Amino acid sequence: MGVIAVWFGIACAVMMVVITQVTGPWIRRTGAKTVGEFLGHIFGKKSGIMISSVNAALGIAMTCLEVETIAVTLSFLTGWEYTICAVIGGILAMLYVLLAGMKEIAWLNLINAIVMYVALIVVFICLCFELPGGWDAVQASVEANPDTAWFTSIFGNSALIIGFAIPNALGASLFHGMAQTGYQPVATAKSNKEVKKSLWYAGPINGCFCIIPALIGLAAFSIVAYRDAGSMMMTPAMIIDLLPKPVVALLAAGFLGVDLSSFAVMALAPATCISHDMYTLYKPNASERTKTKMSRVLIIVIGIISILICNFQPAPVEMVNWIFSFGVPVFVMAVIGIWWKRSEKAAVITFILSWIAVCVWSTFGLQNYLGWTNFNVNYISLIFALAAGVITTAVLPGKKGLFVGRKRA
Amino acid sequence: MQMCMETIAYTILLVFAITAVGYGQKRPIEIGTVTKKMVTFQCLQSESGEVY
Repeated sequence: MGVIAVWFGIACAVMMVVITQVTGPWIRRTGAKTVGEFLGHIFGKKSGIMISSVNAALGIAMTCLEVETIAVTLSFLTGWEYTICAVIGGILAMLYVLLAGMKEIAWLNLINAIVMYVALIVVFICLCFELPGGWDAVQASVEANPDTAWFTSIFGNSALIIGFAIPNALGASLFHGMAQTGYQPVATAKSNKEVKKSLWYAGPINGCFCIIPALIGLAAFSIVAYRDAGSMMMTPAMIIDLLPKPVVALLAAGFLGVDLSSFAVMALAPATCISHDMYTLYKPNASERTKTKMSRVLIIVIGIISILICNFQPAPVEMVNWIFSFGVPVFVMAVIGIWWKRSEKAAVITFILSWIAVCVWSTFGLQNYLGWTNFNVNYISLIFALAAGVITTAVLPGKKGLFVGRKRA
Repeated sequence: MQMCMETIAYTILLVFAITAVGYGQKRPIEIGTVTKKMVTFQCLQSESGEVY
């Protein structure tokens, strides 16, 4: 893919704008603790629970991906078998969440991000001296082959911009913009002002994160000896071979820290959805203490599920986009319900139609059958959500939008 | 090295442009239609006893 991979980071910057400037403050102002609760305010309790259930399932899927990355990092560190690393990594990750509170996790996330950035910068500087022929040789080697010449430019391949960069930004922004995974850190902030200001570090930190990994990956690809190790192992092979041991250890520690932080956020999100939105259906008067206990039990259950299925997952980028596509109709209907009209029937019909379209296109393989590899599943989800959402909302009866009343007040 | 510099420069430029535009756009979205009116909205809801 080459340095065009930095678009994944740029997509994250767009996502942070949506979360911190638009949807985060909207949800906070209604006092909702979960996105399901917020959607319940808009469309009614049933659709709120429906979204919470889907969000919880998607959050668990994201957690499985995090366990996979922890297992790869541990395997890189120790040389142990991937499955053993998945078990140890999963247990470590569960302890990381269970032994810490929200504040500790927030601080650890910040420390982990700093360690990761420092490690990546150190690796980049070391590679400037250790790469055979330096970065100019990397560029010359990749550009010598017409099939890979575009690898050296972030605007190099228009097909990938359409099939990878744009749908990534779209999916990440719309999914996390109206999902517990995106709202969880926003919900714990002191004030809306703090949330909005946080964009100035959340945007650049997330947005620039992919630069050095993309360059390191390209360096490994440019050297035939490492390229032969395969796409997953060529970068670790090059790093171990070329860099001093303390730098390798720093990088691995940085990666492990970030993986654990991501696991914490991803596991807390579905646990909160289930304990606050679903458990309260059976025990409406459950105390906050009981819900917290419930969340802790759920984190263990989610961790065990993640360990069990981390050997059976598709490629991470495909899986992430598939997960994102389920959030697209939720975002579309939330905007319609806030600013235009609220119809629970319209919302439920739109969700179901869009999710069926996602399953037919991606899960059951219509995209591969037709050979439309660049027509990302997020486009399909957006088209169905907009068409079904606008038509059903226009036709079916409903209340005025949740925030429309405020304009008239 | 030129490739590295170009990648770093373009990405930082794009990321900060997105951040600045996003932060700059908050006023028309938030202040005019959300923040100011929300207070009245919540009070009215509370008085009428309507539960969302």
